[in-house]
Parts: sequence; C-alpha cells; structure tokens
Amino acid sequence: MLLALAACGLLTVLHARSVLRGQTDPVTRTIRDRGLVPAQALVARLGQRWHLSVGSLLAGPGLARENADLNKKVLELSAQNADLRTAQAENARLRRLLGFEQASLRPLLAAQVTALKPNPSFDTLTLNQGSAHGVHPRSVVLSPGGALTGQVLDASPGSSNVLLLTDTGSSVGALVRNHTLHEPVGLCQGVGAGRMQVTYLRSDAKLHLGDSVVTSGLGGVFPGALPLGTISSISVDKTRSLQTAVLHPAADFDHLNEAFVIQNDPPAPGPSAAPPPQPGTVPR
Amino acid sequence: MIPTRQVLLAALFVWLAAVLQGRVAHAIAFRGAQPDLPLVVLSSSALLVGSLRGSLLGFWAGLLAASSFPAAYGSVFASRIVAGAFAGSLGSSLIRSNLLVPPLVTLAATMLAESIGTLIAPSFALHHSRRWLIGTGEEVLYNTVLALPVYLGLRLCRIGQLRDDPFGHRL
Repeated sequence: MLLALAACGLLTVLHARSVLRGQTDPVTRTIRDRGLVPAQALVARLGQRWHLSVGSLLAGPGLARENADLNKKVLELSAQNADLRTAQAENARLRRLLGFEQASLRPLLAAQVTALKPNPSFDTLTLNQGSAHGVHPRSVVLSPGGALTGQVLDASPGSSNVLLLTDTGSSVGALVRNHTLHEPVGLCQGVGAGRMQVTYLRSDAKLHLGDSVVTSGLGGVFPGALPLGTISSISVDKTRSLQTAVLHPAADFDHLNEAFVIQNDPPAPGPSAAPPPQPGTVPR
Repeated sequence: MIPTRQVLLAALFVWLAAVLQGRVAHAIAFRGAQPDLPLVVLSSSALLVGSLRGSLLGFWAGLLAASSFPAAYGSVFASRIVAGAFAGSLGSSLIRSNLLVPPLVTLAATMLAESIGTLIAPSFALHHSRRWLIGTGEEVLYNTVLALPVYLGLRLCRIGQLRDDPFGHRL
C-alpha cells in the first residue's frame, strides 16, 4: 500500500505541475482520452439508441399528440421569427447609425456529454471535445436550448471537464428580468443537488415568482443575457437587507446528452493567468 | 495464491464500473442519491483478493477516478488506494460466508474513502457540512445496497480463493 501511495504522490505532483502550466498531465490525458471517454461515448450512444427505439415504442400513444403540439408551435415560432428578423434588421441599422460596435458572435462547438457527474460528490460532466477542437479552460458551455450550463475546468486534447452551474463552486453574475427600469443584479450560485440560487439581491428589488434570470455579463467571463432559470421562491435574510431567490434551472442538468461550447482564445499560461474555478468551494 | 488472471479480471470490472459511472449511476439515482460504482466494485473485489492486490486495484480505481475528475486528483486517488487496502485486509480476517459481510465492508470502505478525501480537501465539508453529511450518507447507503449483488457477480466470475470461502462454494 505504501508503494501505491508513493506512486500516487508522484503522479499528483506531476498533475499539479501540469495544471500550473495550464495543461493536462500525460497520465490523466491517456487514461481519460484513450481509456474512458471512447467507452463512455459508446455507452452514451447505445443509451440514446435504446431510448429512441424501445423508449419511443413505450411512449407511442403520446407521440402523435406531442407531434401535433410541436407542429402548432412551429407555426407560432415561424411567425415570431419573421417579426424578430425585422426587429434585428432595424436594430442593426440603428446601431450603425449610432456608431455602436457589432457584438461579435463566437462560434459554437457541438459536443457529446460522455459522463454526467462522474464523481457523486461534485456536479461536473465530461465532454468528448477537448483542446484539439478549440476547447480551453474557462470556455463557456451551453445546453442545447441555449441556457448557460457551466464552464470548462480542464481540457485534454480529446476531452474536457465541465463544472456545472449547480455545483457549490460555481458562481456567475445574474440579472433578474423583472421589466423595471433598474433590473436587479445578484450572484447566481450553485447549491448542489441540481439547484441554484441568486443571492445579494437588494431588499427593495421587486421580484416575482416566474421572473426569468439571465447572466449579467459583468466580470467578462460569461457573456450577458444567457438564460439561467426562473425564480421559484424568494426569501429575505435576517437583517432584511438582502433577498435570495431560488431558481428553477433553464438547462435540464439531469438529461444532458449534448452541449455547446463557446469557442474562445486559449488563456495565457503561467501563474499570472486567473485559475479556473474549483468545484465544491465557496466562491469569494 | 490468487492467479493474476483473477486480479486482471477484477481490474477490468473496476474499469467497466468507471465507464458506467458517468452514464448509468446518474440514471439510477434515487432522490438525488447516486452510488459510486467503481468504489463498490473495488471494495467487493478487494475483499476477495486480499490486501496487497486490493491496494493495486485501489491504485487502478484511483487512477481512473482521478482522471475522470482531475479537480480533486490527489484526494480521490489516495482515498481509493486506502479503501482497497482496507477492504482487502478485512478479507483475511473475516468469515466471508455471511451475507452481511460484503455490504458492511463496502459501507466501511466508502466511509473511509470519503473521510480521507475530506481530510485532504476539506473545503466542501467545512463550508457545506450539512449537505456534505447528507450527500455522503446517501452515497454510503446506496453503495451498501449494491454491494451484495456486485459481490455475488464477482464470485460468479470466480474471483477470489474458493477454498477459503465457504460462501463461494455454494455459488
């Protein structure tokens, strides 16, 4: 056992040195990219195939009804889309007139979720895309519906680890869309067990159940206006100076099969670069 | 003497559990409680192969667990080695014919692994002690429930010494 612990210590030192250089150590890289992720991707694909074939057979009667509802929704959204395109064109024209810079849209990279919460103690997931595909630590990850899902903790060439918003180590600036002139700003923190809450909201902020909460864009790590969730309950702290709102997450964290990574430039290596967040810690 | 083939087979099962942990463990979560499948397989197989080989299996399980979750590399790695060695050391000192032994060993090994992980990286337990206690308690219970079927499966694959294990002869 002592020999195994000594080897463990050596590998941990090797890992820590690689982390300082902003890389993944070769042992972790090989084990994860060659030994785990391909097999997990295969299991995920088999699970999806099983769900599509056997699951859809069981759900047969409900499918026709769902199809009809979806057709109706497509028609509604098509009409809305036409309106939005008109508004977008007008917005672009007004921005040009006012001399505003166009917000550059970052390309999205589709990735398969190969492992969801591989360690029961932390809310993380593994993606089958890594640094070779343009994923870097601190890259922002979205759900297929466009809701903010989390942030990349580390990336090896063939895979990456993502810290979910629901982990206690996660925090992001949040803005409550309550349709007032001064929309309240707070901090969205994960509280574990698939839940999150917005804290540090002023006590006089007008909050309502069902208000949508989006990223504030403050801090520069996460882009603004990404959906986080809707308010499901509100509480005031003992001093009556701050409010806390519990959120119903916009992303379905329990059934993530795919995710999108916003591709960004790799962070500069070295001690001066801000380290990625750590899971299970309290955000400062 | 336990043939190397049996240890390799146990290592293969640990790898399989690590692969399934990412997809299956989450799907079978009960009220948020999720088992740690590699840890269950590790403790059950270490009980059958002894302390030395249990440490080796623990090293392998730790390497897999730490690779899939590098943020807590050292603590996860070390906890699996100690849990494997602990479960293996109980193998020679306990009568394994009792059905209660595999679940109890898994319970103790899970608690030991969680305690070591927390001792090395105590941040979460210190700041969210109630959540940590509930989460760990649920994981321990789930692992304990799964221990017996996993142990029986390993015995069916002829892992462990049959002559030392009256329970194994009955399979």
